[in-house]
Amino acid sequence: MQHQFFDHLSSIPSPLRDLDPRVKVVALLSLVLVVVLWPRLTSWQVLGYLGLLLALARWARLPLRPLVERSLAVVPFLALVAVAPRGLQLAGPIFARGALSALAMVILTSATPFPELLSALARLGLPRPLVLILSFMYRYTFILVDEAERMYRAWQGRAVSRQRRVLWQSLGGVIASLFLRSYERGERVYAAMAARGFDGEIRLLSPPKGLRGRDLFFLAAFAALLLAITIAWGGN
Amino acid sequence: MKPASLTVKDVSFAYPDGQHALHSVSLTVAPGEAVAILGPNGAGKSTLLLHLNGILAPAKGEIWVGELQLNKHNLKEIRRLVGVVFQDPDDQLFMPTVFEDVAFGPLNLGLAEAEIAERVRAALSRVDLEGYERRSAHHLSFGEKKRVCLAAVLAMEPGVLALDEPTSNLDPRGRRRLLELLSAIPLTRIIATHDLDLVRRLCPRAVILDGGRIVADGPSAELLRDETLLDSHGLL
Repeated sequence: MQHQFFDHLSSIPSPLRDLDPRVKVVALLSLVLVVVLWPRLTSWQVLGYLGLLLALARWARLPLRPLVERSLAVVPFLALVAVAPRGLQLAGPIFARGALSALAMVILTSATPFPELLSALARLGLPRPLVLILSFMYRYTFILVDEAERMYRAWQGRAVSRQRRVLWQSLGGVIASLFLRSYERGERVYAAMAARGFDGEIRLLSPPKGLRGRDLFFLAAFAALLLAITIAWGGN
Repeated sequence: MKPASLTVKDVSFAYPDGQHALHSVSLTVAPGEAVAILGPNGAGKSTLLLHLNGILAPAKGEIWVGELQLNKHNLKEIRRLVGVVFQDPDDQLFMPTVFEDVAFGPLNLGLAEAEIAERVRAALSRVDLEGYERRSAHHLSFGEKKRVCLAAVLAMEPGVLALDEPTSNLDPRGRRRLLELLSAIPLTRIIATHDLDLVRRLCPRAVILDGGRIVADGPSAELLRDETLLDSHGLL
């Protein structure tokens, strides 16, 4: 089982983890919006946002290395930009925007247990079908990863051909049967849902919970810093 | 918990690919009775269980639960009354947390949130998993997952429990634990299984299904002594 990495960070206790997930979603999403939409980012702004995010990560007691690794997952997409006309000129700013946005989202998901994140999104008005799809994704990623791993190991045990082409073909077969198994599981899961009275209408639990003082304080402080960095170092 | 009676009258069923799965199956189970359905793989055991709560609709024949005949107007009530525990708990636990999984059925019944919380608490305590509410299924042992599935069904306050291979893949301790729980539940129980020891302990009556037909129905002590019968249906 290799999937422990997924929930590991969000189980670290910290003041950020204990905040209402709604304020975390709003705060970090607004940072992403500013970073993506501000017409021309200055270097000072980029450093300011980075500093703000790193301070947040530190407050959340998150180890730096996995955060950086996960944020850099956007790099391959940026390679596509670099190929475009005037690509290299654009690549710098786009890289900064992409990496900062990714870092913000990685911090959000690392400092919030996924089930809480889902209920926050639902209460912030994300349509229920999307919430349900995300929750299935969370639950079945683990099962799929386990299943893929078992099948890959079984394939390795039998993949003895020297010919690369034969190997790739048989790996294709493994992937196809993983798809079929997932499809069949989908049918069985639906049967299990119907068996417990699911009739197509998505109902979600929503225990009413008010924001506490510290949630509001965090939101206000974060907004003030975000605004200060954006305006003070905005240049012309 | 109020056990309900169950009647299967002359039910036949064929899968869309033309494969005949059930041939005029008839079975009457008294309230509170525990009946084993024995049979080799492919005998139609799972197909029969999926008929009991209307996941599959019979081509011919009738299903009665208590005074209700299964039809499309009372499907929801029948699904509440007949709780099905599937073989693979990963098919049945599809929500991000144990609480949400156990609450899924009651939520679909349209109960108030306070009532749902009370049902979840009672169901989890029934299977000795108090305090598991916020855990995720992928962090549970196989035996614990099985018990959560049972709790998820009990939370709907059914009259009949239908279990598909409840002890398969369980380790000895998990198996013993589940048998204790099942024997203490005063509901009508229909258990599809190959586990002859389970039948001896839990089910005074057994039915042998082979090739989609009921080939024997009687006290399990007698059936289990008849080695010729068991052997001819692939149970020894």
